Order: sequence, then C-alpha cells, then structure tokens
Amino acid sequence: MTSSNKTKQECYVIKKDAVKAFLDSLSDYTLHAPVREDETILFKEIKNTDDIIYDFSNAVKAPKDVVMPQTETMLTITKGGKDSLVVEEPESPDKSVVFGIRPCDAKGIALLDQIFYEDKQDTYYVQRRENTTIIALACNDPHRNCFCTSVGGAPNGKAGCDLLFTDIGDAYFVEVVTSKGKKLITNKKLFKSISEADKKAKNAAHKEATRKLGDALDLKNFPEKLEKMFGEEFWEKYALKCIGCGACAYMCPTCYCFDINDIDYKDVVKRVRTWDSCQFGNYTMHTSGHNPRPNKVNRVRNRVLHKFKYHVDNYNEIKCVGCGRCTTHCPVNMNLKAIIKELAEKEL
Amino acid sequence: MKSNPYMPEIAVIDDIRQETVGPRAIKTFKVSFKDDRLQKGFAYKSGQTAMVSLFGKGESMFCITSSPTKKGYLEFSVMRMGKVTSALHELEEGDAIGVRGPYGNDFPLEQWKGKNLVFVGGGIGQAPLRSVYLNVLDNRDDYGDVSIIYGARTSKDLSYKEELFDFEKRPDVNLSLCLDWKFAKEGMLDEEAEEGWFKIDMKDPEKTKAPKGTTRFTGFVPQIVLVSKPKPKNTIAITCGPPIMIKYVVENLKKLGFSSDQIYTTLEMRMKCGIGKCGRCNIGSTYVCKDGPVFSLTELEKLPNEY
Repeated sequence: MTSSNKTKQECYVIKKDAVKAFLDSLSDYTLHAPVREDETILFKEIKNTDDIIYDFSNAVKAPKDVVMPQTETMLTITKGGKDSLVVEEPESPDKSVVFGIRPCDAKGIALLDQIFYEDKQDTYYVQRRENTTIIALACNDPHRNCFCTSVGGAPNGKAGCDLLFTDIGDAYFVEVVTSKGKKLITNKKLFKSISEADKKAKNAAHKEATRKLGDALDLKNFPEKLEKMFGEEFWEKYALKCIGCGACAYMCPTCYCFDINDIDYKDVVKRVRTWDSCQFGNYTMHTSGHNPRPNKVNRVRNRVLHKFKYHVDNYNEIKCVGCGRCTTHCPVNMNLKAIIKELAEKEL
Repeated sequence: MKSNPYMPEIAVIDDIRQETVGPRAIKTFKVSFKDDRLQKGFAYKSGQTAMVSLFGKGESMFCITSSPTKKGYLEFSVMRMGKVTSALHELEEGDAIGVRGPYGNDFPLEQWKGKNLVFVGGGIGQAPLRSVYLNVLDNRDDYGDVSIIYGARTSKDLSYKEELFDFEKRPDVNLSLCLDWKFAKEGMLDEEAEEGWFKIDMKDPEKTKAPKGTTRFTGFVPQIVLVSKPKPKNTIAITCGPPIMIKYVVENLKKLGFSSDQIYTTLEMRMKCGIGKCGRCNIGSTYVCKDGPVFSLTELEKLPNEY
C-alpha cells in the first residue's frame, strides 16, 4: 500500500509546457489521463499525450477501473475429461500511471486498499494497485455537488496519491508523496527546485479551492448517531424516491461490491467478476427466496450506513470522498450531501 | 499469481449419498482433493464453510458437514435449489469439482468442554450441526450430556437417517427425532414408516408424558424442545434450521431458562467471495463469511435485523 511508505516532503515545479515531455517519457507505463469526448470528460488509456486535457472540474467517472475493472476474467478453466480440469489465472497487469486524478478519487482508491489488502489479499486488485502510480491534480474549481471537506478530504488531499500536482499559473507545484512517485522524477531538467513564491502560490490555490467548497458539515459524532437512527421512519421517505438503478454505486469512487459468475463456452469456462450494487434486490437474495434486505428502505439505508457507519466501525474512516457523483447522476435527484446534512442536524 | 484466494483446488467426488428425495432432494457429497498434500493441509473446524465450484455453473458456499476428526475427506450436504445445487445433483462419483476454503469462524468447542450440549436442527439445517456433534462424539469424554433434536416433514425427509438410527442405540446420546405434526394430522405421512412415532400434545407440549427412552415423535421441533426439557445449567444449545423454526426454538429455550449466551446458531447468506470483499453478506458492520457464520444469540441481538 503506497500510503505506508511516505517519504520526506520533497517538492518541485514543472512548467506547464514541460508536462507533455514528462508524460511522454513514461513510455514504460500504460498512461491513463482525462480526455474530452463528446462534451464528456473521461479517463482513457492515452496513445497520444496531445489528447490530454488539463482544464476540467472532474471526470464523469472516477478512474477506479484502473485498479478495479468493471469486468475482469479471474480464471480460465479448460475442461479435459471427466476429472481433468486446467484452471489458469490471467497474466500480470501492465505497469500504469494515472495522471490527472482528483484528490477525492485518489482517496477513493486509498479506501479501496483498506478492503482489498486486508486479511486474505485480493491478488487481482493488489497486483494492479502495486503496478499503478497515481499522479493527482489538486482541485482548484470544485463542482457544485462536491463536499470533500465534510468527509475528511481536501481539494489538495494526499491520500492515495504518489505525486500531487497543483496548478500555480504557468507551472505545476509538485509534491512527492511516496517513493513510488519519486521514481517518476528522473529528469531534473523538467522538475526544478521551488521558490518561496511557488510555495505561496500553491498555498493560495488550496485556500481558494477550500473557500469555494463552503462550510464543511460537522460529522464528528455522526456514526454513533446513525446507529440510533436505524429503526427510524424517515428512511422510508428517502427510499420512496429511489428507483434502485444503482447509478450511485457505479459512479462512486469508493463502492467496491462485486459479483462473480461463470460463462460457459462449452470447452472453456471463464470465471468473471463484475461490479455490483447493494441497491439491487437480487444482491442479497437467497436461493430459497428469502431476502435479508427485501425492500428499498433496507437497501437505501444500507448504502448510507455502510459509508457513514459500518465502514467507520471497521476502518475508522468515512467511506465517502464527497465527489458528489451519486448526486449529479441520480435520475430522481437524490442528494447524498443533503440527506447527510438533514440526518446530522436532526434531533433524536 | 501468488496465493490467489479465489483459486479453487480440484477435488473428486468419492461417494454420493441420497439423503432425501423429491423436488428439493438432499444429497451428501464425499469429496477429496486430487492432490493428497492439499487434503492433508486442508485444516478446518466444525462450523466452517467452503466454496464449492462447478465450473461453468458457478460457486456456492456450503457448510462442511463432516467432522474434522475424520481425516482424508470432506462432506457437503446439498439441497437441490438453484443453478449450482441442481447441477451438483446431476454429478456422479468420480466427477471433479473445485473447492476453496475453509472460511469463517467455528463453534467454540474448546470453551464448551465439560458442558452439556443440546443440538436442535430442522431440515437441511442439520448439516452444520452434524459436523459439531460428530466431532463431539469422537471426543465424547470431553463433554457432558449430548442431546440431539432433529425434525423433518416426514420420515422420507430425514437426512443422515442410518447414522441417527444408530444413535438411538447409544446410551450416551439423548436423541429426539420428530416428524412434522401438520403432516401427521393431514394423514400425509407414510403410515407404515411412521407407525409408533409418539404424538406429543401440541397444545401443551410440556405436559406430554412420553414413555422413557422414546426417540421418535410427531410434533414441531420447537415443541419437542419443551417435551425434551433440557436443563439450562452448564448447557449450550446449538440450533439451525428454517428461520421460523429458529425463532420458536429460541423462544422455548428461553422459556426453559436458557440465556442468550447459551444459545448458538449459524447463519446463511448469499456469498460470492467468502473473504469479506464482495460486500453482500453484511449484517451491519459484520460480515457473515469471515466474522460468522457462527454467532451466539448475544452477538446476534446486537446486530440489525437484516439476516
């Protein structure tokens, strides 16, 4: 896990017109960066670094799929005879760099690490994660639905980052967060030493972005409060609106639930895993028909409680990075921040 | 890939026992790993589960119904229900399946040494209990009285029949088998096979006076608990079966003076990974696959009612 090998703070500046040369020099890596496609900002595998865009609020989807693809083959099984089966694993993933990820989404990956590195390590995730270096771009123009500062994040948060870039006008201020990030700083002609003015410009940029986000919610005793709210009727109000489409989970940088299924091609079977969501009724349905979370109210409540209570119980951190995508993309205008605010301020 | 937790090992079906028949038939599969070293290395405890693969159909989590005291094989009792279980029922001896595990926690048998144990099972719920009582009976001197209450609809629906009928002859096992009272009443029982099964007083089961040594009853499992009247002192009750049965078994055990920390059960949940990653088996912040499946009632009472 990269967060455990922090190096002493080391900083550089890189001129904006030198960034292309830097990214071009990373030819040993598969590069993922934001591009504009039909008015949409997406993270894509980059063939030509001219395609990369630098001036954007955030991508429509977090680049979570670099470490956790939406669909991946876990095993390929070749059937021989009656008791002959050959089970093969996929090849090791390529080394990759994600450039331009926002600190909220990088933190999302740090939160995924908690799940996939724990106990029995998820080898598929861990291999990808170990092979991925994350260059984040600090946020200087938050989206209207953003609330990272309410959930322990910041426009310049370093969780999950290996390098953190901040736009300071004609250059980027570069903070080296991990030794993995440091490995990318090889060309000192591109990465120059910083001045006091650079430092000031960086701090001013962070301060301005934080100001734009407005007041943070006070969620200090919120997890304990939520526990007491489990049986309350107001969950019904939120659930009534929900159509159970799962868009919130698919857009979420911290949602990680998955399904595993076999696809039978007669002689060859592929065991495939895909993203899943606790908002789907089938998610918890037993074969017998019994369902521990039979209604939308159970499922909507589970999603909120998982992020703001259950995960806090297990890992002492809120499992939401405040990117606001669930709100932006909800077809029935559910607003997570508004729900959290209402619950946090509710008298018990 | 080093130590991939999702990698099943190939096991071969050595024996298949047809426990019950009908649309929801139960079969017990006795399997062993192809690689002998894996078989020796597969150390499990009573209560733990394993993920069984039928390649092309998928994976399902089953409790291991054999006792770890018996080396060289694993047993799974499977009711024909869905895609994987129906396909498993089509397999024959010699066929290969995949197995990974063992997963989850186990019944605290070490702590229970010197205590009396009461097992209360219904239907396929007997499968996890079987691993525990076979284990206990292989270490008989370590425990006090052992009582087994097991119910099914009709005599045709009783699993592990021969094994249980053998227990009737054991002086160190207090056995109560029971058949569903409702079916007895409607005359749906196989009259010959059920002849001589003692009908309990369903209205006031505690007043039932069965002749000493009676092991075969007709009645519901929770009522048989009141007929058998296990004493709570120094006793642990372990129950598994349909949710409605568990509910009334617990109620009746409490009536007899059992406290929540003397009652244990094992839970079922839909599972995909078995190692706390895929998300779906949570009850609050507890994951049944890794924190369970074994829970004391004291532990369950602290969790949200979503199981």
